[in-house]
Amino acid sequence: MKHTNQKKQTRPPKKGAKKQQKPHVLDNLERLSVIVEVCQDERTIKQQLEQIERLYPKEILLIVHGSNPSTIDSILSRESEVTTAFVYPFFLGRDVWRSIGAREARGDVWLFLDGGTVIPAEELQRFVSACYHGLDVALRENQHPPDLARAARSYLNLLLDQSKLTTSMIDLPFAITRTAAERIGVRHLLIPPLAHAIAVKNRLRVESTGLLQSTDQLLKKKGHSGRKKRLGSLQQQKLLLGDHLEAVRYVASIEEGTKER
Amino acid sequence: MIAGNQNGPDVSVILPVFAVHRRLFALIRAARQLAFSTEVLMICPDSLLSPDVRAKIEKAGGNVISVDESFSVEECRRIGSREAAGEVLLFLDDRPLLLPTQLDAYVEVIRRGGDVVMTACRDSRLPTRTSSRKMTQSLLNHVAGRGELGSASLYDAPFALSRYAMETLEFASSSPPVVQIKAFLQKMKVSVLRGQCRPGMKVASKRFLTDHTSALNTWMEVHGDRGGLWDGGRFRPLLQVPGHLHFRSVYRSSDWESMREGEWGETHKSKKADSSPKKRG
Repeated sequence: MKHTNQKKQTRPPKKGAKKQQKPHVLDNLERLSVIVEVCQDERTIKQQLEQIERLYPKEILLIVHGSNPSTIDSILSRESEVTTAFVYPFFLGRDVWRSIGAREARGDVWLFLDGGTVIPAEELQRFVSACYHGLDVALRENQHPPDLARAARSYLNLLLDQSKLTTSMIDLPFAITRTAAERIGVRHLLIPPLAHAIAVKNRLRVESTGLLQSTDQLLKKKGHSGRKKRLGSLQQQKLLLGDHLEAVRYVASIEEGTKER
Repeated sequence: MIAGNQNGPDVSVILPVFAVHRRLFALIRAARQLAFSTEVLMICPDSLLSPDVRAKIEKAGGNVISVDESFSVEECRRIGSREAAGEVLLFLDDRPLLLPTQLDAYVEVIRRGGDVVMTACRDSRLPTRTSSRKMTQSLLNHVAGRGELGSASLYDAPFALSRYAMETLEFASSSPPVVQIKAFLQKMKVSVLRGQCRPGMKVASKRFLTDHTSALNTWMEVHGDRGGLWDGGRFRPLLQVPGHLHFRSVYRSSDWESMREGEWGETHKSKKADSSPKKRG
């Protein structure tokens, strides 16, 4: 097992300290749960964890699945006071980690991330702060989604009467309040379009916080060693379409129920 | 139900008309050249045609079916399909002028055994600035596993149906997306001809969405809630069981501390000892 000589992460001074902290730090310490999917992300997870720790969250929950031992070594060799790693020895399936992480989270604002992409802490904080300031779900704008994703998203948002919204809970990162997630039902988080539809239908405040400014600088994995990354385009399309059909079914059932009343 | 007429025309051209213009007569003449026996059914509001214009149309070979002014293009097409007697039904739009060879291409596909032939944009990829409508039409085709059809739809003329398809799919009483999805479900021969992208038939947004949602629900009634599509290998039953019963390991910060001091610490110390420079005796 590899070792590092990294210094223990210091916690910021407590409330009342002379040194003035950024206002979000105290909120994050008390309220923020960061939930991260780790699936064969050994090349990027350490860097992403460094960025997450700069947020000073209440807790970091790593849902590790479908990963080889080197990924787990990377995580466990890093000292952290607030990290809990849930390590599954098999691939959970797409997005199941969202529901599992949500069930373990103790904070009242949750930030969902992918361990395979490194996003600076400043950009992550934007999502979290949006929730502190009243949003129920803070989404990321995706400027160049694949054609079919764009079509599916567009259709669903039209169906939900949200034509101005061009994104959904599919894209990471996003932040959500505990209250909102409980209204949606954490078991539904594993189907992002369905969770999105339930959120809108329950009149939760779902908005985009804009593009990630550092999109061009994101450190992406080279190659496709991860199981999730090995999915072919056709499989991705089927998954995307199937997920959206579940959302359509939900919307239709709500509207039928409304008509019957 | 419309009975097939063996003595009827080979081709019925159905043309809803909402404005009279010169190319309309050219379009009628072009349609008449399609087959030895062709009928051209013009469905239009009665108030639109003066007696002179009506006479000109009939002279050019068109048959006028009068409807109320409030009728939509879709309703006019349905009326036309009920009145049509041909084995091939070709639905046109009165705006663009198509050459006889272009019209013949649609008829030929049906003659050679096709059931439905629609028009797709030459470039099947969705351009960056595609209307939400085109994207929704494209989505329907992808759900049915027919992504190669692009955004082709029975909303957009020209398209052609065989009589068999028109009757089996209940064209006269169903919305275009529902007819389209039924064609996929019945494994009919559905194809496209590539042409210039043109604005589609005008339809109210809400109606458009409702029609497509009905079509998707029709598909799901047969194929299940996900339309028979892959579920991403999800272990959904895991969520019915509390986390502590999952087959997993949980490493908390405190565990790492003890692991570091215990087995890890020993390993670290021994490695450190091995790497330190050897003392010279």
